[in-house]
Amino acid sequence: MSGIARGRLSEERKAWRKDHPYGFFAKPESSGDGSSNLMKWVTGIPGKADTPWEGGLYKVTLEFSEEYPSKPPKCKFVPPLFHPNVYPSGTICLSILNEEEDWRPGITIKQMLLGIQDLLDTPNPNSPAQNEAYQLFQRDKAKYKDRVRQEAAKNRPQN
Amino acid sequence: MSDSEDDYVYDYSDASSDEGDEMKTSPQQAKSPQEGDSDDEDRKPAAKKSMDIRGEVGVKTPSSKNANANPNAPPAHGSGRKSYDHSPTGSDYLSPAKNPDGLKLMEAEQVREEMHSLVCEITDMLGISEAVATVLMRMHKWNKEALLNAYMNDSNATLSKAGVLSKVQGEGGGATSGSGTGNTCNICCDDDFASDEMYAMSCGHSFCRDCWRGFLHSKVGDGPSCIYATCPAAGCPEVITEVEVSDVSKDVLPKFSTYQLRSYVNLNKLARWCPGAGCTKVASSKTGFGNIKCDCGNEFCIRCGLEPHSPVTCPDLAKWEEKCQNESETANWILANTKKCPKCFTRIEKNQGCNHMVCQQCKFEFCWICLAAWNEHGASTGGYYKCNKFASEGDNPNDQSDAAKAKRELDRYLHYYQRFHAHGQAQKFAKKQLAQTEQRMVQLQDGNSDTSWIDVQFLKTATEQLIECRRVLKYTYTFAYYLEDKDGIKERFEHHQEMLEKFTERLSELSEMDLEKMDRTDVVNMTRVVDKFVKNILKYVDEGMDID
Repeated sequence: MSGIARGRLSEERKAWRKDHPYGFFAKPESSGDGSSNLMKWVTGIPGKADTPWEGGLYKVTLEFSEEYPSKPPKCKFVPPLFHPNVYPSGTICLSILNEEEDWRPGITIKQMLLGIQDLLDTPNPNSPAQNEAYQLFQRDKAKYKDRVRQEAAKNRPQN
Repeated sequence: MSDSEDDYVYDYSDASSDEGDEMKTSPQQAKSPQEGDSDDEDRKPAAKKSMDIRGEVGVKTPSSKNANANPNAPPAHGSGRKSYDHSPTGSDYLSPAKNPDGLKLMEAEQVREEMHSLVCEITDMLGISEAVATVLMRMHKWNKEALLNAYMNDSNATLSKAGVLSKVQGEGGGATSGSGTGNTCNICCDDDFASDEMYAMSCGHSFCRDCWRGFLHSKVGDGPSCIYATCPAAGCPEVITEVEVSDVSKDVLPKFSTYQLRSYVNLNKLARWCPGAGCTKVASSKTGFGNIKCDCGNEFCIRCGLEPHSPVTCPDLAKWEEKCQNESETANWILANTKKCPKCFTRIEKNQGCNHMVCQQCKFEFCWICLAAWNEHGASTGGYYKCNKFASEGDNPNDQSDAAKAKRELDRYLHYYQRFHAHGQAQKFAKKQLAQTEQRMVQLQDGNSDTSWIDVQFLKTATEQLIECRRVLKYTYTFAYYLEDKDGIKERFEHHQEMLEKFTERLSELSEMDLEKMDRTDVVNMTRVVDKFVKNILKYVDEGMDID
């Protein structure tokens, strides 16, 4: 499936412009000279209402390789997020983003971002990726939620 | 030790496979009726109690052809070459008596046929396509009964779990219906495909053929897991089979089928790919046990794929290998760099040049070279800083402290590991020797004009026997490490081991001698003697070690 990465991504861009879920943003990273890099996207994922994540807009970068969509993009919270399934580097551990698991070429950017949004409030305790959030989540749910609210406060949209 | 844990075929050679072979002992005829599911026949020679091997051994000149076909012939004086040649290949595995595990070697093509005929049975029975039957069988590890049970129980659940539900119930895929043009592919996102440019599996998710081809290339390129690939649509469980591969990307079909075949063998407990480099043969056995020698020369245990390792069981060997991997660096270092204090047996590392040691634990002063007390050193030993005496290590006291126990355990492991390692090295050396043996055989024949090629075979036989002895000896140390001592079985086992070791060393010596000095009769005799001991020790273990 080589060589179709850019074509697919520009179609994803069009589709996103036409229609995308409320509160999200997603666009190719802009280089200094006004052009944009289709292979790296900057996106924002809002915390769902009625969850401790509410109010935050979490920045995620998607890095696509030439093998996309055979292979999934690398998805990272920037800066790294306090969450049981996010590695200290910010990389997200989610089955639909994992080539060995449920990644399919048919998965769209919209589906990925909605999947990540779902993950925020439904962490998977079976695949911990960072110690701090995992331990707190396992031991003390109330403290965990407080900590998440702090995270949301840190990530309020600027405007 | 449980026999079911540890079945070994030791010798499944066929008399006819050996050119110039004369009398063949038939030990399996003389042994008592088989008990339990114990395995190999040839490992149970009649004279099991005989330690007096001299009485057993005789030598015949190789020219005296004696095609003794009588199966009831006592295990009498055979020639130097006989049943220990356990290098059967292919057709040698015919006789059930000689091959109780039903060992056989197959070409990949034969395995493919076997797999196909299994698939066809299912196809007929359930009225499904071959591709679907393959997926279902694979899912149930090629166990027909398991599949049929599950299927009869809940066919829809079985089909859906395997990812073939819509293949059976759906309309069938192929070129999608729908409008003639303007179809969108959800992979490349182009939206002007004619309907014949699109392709979908029976789940109905259609993509353009180019994207399908790219997808399959990528999956097959990823390796053996490609046979589990599913539809490119998000979340769709429909499994890709040979049908789709053949429809959209025929060029990767051979690779895909090969992975399918590989998985067939890998999921099969009774078969194993020959682990030899580049070898594509498959060994199978009816019991899942046994050792086989492949046509490529590689010899392996069907159950674990490692070199034949009787008397150790596969699980014990795995434990041992892991232990050695974890500890071998440590063990090697300890062996190379430390000695035990002759008084308190603490392991000591010498990190400075002087041989005058003072133990940190007990303050005993001793000589690093001979381990004797330092105050005995002097003119009698060749001067204070010279030492002609040899080292000897004492026994452990009955110290019950944890440290002492740990130390004893380490020493115990080192004891076995050292010997395991030494025989392993000797085995490697003997293999090298085997490579040079042919040349020596030519020399030997040249040195004596009326010697035939058959007459010098004994040299090769002896070296092969030596390799086998080293291998068995090596694993006797693993076995002994895990052997629980009760009712003196360990002592008896060690007696067998000692005898085998002693005569193996003799054979090693004899077979390495200069050709001019070598005595054929001696070598042939010794080959037979050690063969007896190999069989004795394996039989002893096989029979549960309580009869001797």
